[in-house]
Amino acid sequence: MRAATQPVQRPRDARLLVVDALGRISHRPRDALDDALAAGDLVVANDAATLPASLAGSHVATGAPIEVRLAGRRSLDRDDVHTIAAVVFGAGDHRTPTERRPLPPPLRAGDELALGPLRARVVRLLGHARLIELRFDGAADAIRAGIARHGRPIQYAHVEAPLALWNVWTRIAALPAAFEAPSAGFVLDWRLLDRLAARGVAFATVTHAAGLSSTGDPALDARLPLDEPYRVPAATVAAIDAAHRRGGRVVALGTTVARALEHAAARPGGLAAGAGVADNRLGPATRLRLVDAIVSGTHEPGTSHHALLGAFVPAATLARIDAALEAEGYRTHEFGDSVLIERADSAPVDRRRAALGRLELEDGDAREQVGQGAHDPAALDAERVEDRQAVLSRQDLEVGVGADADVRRVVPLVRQNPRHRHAAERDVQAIRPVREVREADDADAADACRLAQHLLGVPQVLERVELEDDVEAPVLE
Amino acid sequence: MTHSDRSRTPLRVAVTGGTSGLGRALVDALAARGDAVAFVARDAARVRSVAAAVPGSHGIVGDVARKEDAHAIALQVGGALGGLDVLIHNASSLGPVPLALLADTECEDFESALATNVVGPFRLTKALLGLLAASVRESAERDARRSLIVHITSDAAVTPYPGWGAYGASKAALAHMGRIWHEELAPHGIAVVNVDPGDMDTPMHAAALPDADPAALKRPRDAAREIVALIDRERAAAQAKNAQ
Repeated sequence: MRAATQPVQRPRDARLLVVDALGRISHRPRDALDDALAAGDLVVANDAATLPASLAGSHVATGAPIEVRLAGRRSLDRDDVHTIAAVVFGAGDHRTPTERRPLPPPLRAGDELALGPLRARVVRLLGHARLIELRFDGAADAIRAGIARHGRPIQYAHVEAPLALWNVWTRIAALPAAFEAPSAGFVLDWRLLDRLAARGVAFATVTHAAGLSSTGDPALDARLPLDEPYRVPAATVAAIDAAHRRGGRVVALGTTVARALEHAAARPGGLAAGAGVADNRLGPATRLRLVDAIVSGTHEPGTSHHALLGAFVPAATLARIDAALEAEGYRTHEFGDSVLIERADSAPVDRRRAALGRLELEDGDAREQVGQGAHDPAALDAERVEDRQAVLSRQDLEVGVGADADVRRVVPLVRQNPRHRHAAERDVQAIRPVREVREADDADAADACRLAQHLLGVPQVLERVELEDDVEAPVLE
Repeated sequence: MTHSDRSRTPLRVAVTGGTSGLGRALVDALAARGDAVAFVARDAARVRSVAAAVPGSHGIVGDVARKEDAHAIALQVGGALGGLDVLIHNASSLGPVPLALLADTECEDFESALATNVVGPFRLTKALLGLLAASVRESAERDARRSLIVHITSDAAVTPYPGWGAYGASKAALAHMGRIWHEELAPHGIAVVNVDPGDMDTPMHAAALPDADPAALKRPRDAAREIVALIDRERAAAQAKNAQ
């Protein structure tokens, strides 16, 4: 992959590699993320704003220049700003790759650090010569002001121009808590939020203090991610419950969201609103409890972010994803392209059963109901559905798939492409979901197409509906 | 403090131009009833002095007209308050002082009025929009509140007073931007209101019309009381609407 070197959050040519639950890979323009989601799904984003967490200064005892990168807090409490974990670099700045940065002078407990208007002391080393707990002097407001005025966003050598906060704040940036940008959220703008709502895709947030992605030191990098405090609002728990009730997918926008939600879901008693400190590590051995799909940047093998994707797909699929990203010239790093990966393992049985009875339609009324979280398909009045709009019922499904099929969830394999078809606006709504056949079934791509056509059946519907070109042979692993 | 005040959830409010005139009166009025207030002003010494005089307030040094300051201000607002329910764009620039006919107004003075009165509030609203939207999401279950952005405007935005060209044109732009923000943000639970507080006895008014009789002008604290009442009305209206 190529490094994305320009600090543009939403390049017009940004791409999205989509991996469905069968491991099939397709490519889309990233600003059409909403097309890869279905009514009833829930997108959860990290709404943390990013602190300017790189503080240039000096080690007072030796006068040596240092760069302190703030990396971790114990909590998101607003007054808990004095004591922070940090990684210390020697002279220089982001233009030197981290692995080539000079070391700082030896650091000891009690050492004073002068960081612009801020003064701090080393409280202790955290098991590594460059990972420290520091304590700022002064009142909380003065510490925040010092960081706001003196700090710079943490950045790496692949982006040469100095970053400003507006380069790294997502459109939804709220509480300043992240040390590096929750960059999967760069995909979001307010227009996309409106489009998600119009599609019947719900939206919720967690606040997660995303930490450093790299230090350039192998021993330190192996400890990433550090413990990260997070908060799950009550409204987000309610939104997740509602998504489960209607059989929708929970889509984590970013690794930090996946980590926070899985940590919260693994606590005794299960997911609950409130604060926590994520000390979990997601990887191939993880059994995901909550998150069905993840939108993330493209990550190089060997990084903790890449390992996290192993929680969603088997190693062989991950290798195919890596190869596809390489072959297609995807851009990597925080301003790069993205992936949407649906987990390969089956959803819990009860949720699959719930999804089985689900009626999916894209009538305006239905979308409204989804938006209000009152999605009760059985109660929808079929009279209101225009006759062109095929309605999938459980009976249809059984005819189409056969009694033995283990049906998992609805995915929009078939949809209209208004850019090509210039359909009347009302017709544009005729997006038809197709039941997806589980990995264990022996359906192949042709079957998937036939199934779609069978279920849709009516010629005038086919006229307005294109099969996605991403219906390709599933690779069974 | 009344009984209903005690049962009320305190608001988290940011006020620009908070060290003098109407801004200072708003800081006082909000803090007095228990709201958490962060205020912004350019002069560090005055910010310190107001923060010290108003317990529970958070002073932020910054210039809303400077692009570089917008996110630094937003960061401190979010950090200090832990969230944001109401944003009051109160900081204002007259443009040329003394006031000048448009034909005598230097371009730089006109630009300065636009920077403080239009572009600055635009930037700061953008930088704080995430916090305002988060407040709506997080309160969705509790009491269906909506967040509020208040633009302090002026009758000079409506009436073409000679001599008030830079100020009047910039305030007209602010007011219209507010109306568009309101349309765009309403689906996200954020309301935007324009408020004309009337002619007040403030340092800005004295700079504009040095010969005016202060006794004939409205007191800033009376205008502040009206604005606080309006904030409560707007939020109560949202609750009633959501309860239906």
